[in-house]
Amino acid sequence: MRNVPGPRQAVTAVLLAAVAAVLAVRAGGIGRRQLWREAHNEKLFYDWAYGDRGVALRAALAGKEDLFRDAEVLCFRGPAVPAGRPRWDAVMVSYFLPRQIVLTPAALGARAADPLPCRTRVVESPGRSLVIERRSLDDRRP
Amino acid sequence: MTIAVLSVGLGAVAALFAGTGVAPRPAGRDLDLRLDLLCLAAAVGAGLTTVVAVAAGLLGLPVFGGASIVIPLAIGILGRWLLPRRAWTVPPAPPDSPWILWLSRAVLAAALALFAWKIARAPLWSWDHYAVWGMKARHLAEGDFLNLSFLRAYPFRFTNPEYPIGVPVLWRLLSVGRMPSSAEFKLCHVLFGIVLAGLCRLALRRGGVPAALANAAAAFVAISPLSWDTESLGLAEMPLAAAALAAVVLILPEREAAERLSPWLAGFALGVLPWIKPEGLTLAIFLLAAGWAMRRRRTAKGAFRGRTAALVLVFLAVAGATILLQRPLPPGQPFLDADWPQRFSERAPHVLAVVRKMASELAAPDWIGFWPAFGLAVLWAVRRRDRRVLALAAAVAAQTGLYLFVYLGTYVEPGAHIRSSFFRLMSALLPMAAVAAALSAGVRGSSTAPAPPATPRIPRPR
Repeated sequence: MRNVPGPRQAVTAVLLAAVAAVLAVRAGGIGRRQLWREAHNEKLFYDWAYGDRGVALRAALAGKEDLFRDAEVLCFRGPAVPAGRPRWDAVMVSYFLPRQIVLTPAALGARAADPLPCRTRVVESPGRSLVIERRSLDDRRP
Repeated sequence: MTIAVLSVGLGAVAALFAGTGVAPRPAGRDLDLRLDLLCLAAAVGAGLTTVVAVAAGLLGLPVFGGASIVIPLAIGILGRWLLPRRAWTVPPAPPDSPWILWLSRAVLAAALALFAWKIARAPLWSWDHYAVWGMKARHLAEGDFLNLSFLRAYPFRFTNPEYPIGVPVLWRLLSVGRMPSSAEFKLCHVLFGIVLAGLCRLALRRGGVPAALANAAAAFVAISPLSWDTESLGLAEMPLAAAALAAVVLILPEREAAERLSPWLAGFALGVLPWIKPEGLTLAIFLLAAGWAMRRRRTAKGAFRGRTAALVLVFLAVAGATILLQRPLPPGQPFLDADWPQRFSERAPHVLAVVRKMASELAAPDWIGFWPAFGLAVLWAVRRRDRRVLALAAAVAAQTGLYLFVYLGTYVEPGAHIRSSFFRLMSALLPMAAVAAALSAGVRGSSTAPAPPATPRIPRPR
């Protein structure tokens, strides 16, 4: 193909035609509501990882950071939804809330006998509730 | 959304200013070349800003907020002041007919527009974003200071605390220190996608490929799974692909002195790869070897040694910095944890089954037939004895071989591990492979061409 314009232009034209065809097919799907569930890994993992459950958690937590901004310790008492997976819930809470220590349900269980008072905030999403205990280190004073 | 656009816009312009202070400036008025060089400057500037910010942050200096702008501005001003910047151009390529050139530009613009549209519509959903990359970007700052102590707290033990922190720091810098939310992550992703397309064009035009074919290859990258599969949104694959392609642009051999690029810049670009993902280290080493193989017979012996030494020294310094940085971080659970030799020896007899699983992932229709086409292009390059294509293809193959090695030794069941990661990992290698494939349709990179004559530097106008 060296310095031969014909084949090179043919390769270019074929590649452009292929890309344009793919673009046309994809653009035709613009009206579909959940286009992001159509690619390879989207099909495999979207529902597995963040289907409705993840959406509910995100909706419950997003934008709520300020409720907990001044807390020194946040105790996450999950699961947030029936049959929720504590590790996922803990990760979600850690992602959305400020960087204070967030305790998972397992760790919270170990503190069940803790008599210290706990101020509680409830963040609600439609049909579900996520309970997060908002503690201050001052609460620990005798 | 408006605040996100303003902050990421400001952060991106600042990174671009840093990059234009150190990257080559275009000779001539070719608009395409100017745009592509801006993409190279953005990639280099983002990398430099990240490295300097992490160094300053570890020294206890403020790096976010106003410092997110001051650092790239300082880099840009110092670069313009201290570094000689030559005017740079690409070699002439066979001319395209005007209609196909404009058509290729239109297709590339449409591909990028559709990519941006999908990213705007799609939610952030990937587990690794919430558990690893995005989580770190949101938590690594305390005020304007870098603070990685959170990685030792209980919930963050799932976040692969041993992973490099370059991308989370870069996201935070591009957000001008604000805690990035969905809009910021999406904007950064789209910017990286645009930079990637520009770098793809630049690498091909540097390799003597006509502009229309370069545009078509860049458009293909923009519709490839790396851009279209939103699993990559908020992860490190897109930044890794962009940084790797910036390195490819810088290591490709020149035919004339006016096309020569600074070896220290190439060394820096390679050194940034381990700051992005752990496998960036091996990718950088393979690209280093590819650059050496491409240039070995093309450059005068003394000049080759000097330039290679400069490149390797800068690479070792930048890559070594992140390896030292990782040492104080809490240990995670690497895939080759515990008794991996035992697992490897148990699975070695079943290597063909593992390879078959990997091959079946590469045969997915979402690749639009890319990997078989890549194989044909490599065969064509073997026939033409095109060192550039063969060296880049070897780097892609070696990195794929590394993934095979990890799958054989991982503590995760190999089939599940391949299913959950291989498609995504290969999507980050696709732009490099696409450049290699398209180079095979350009003017051949002769392995026996004479060394370019030494010409004096063109002084920078003051």
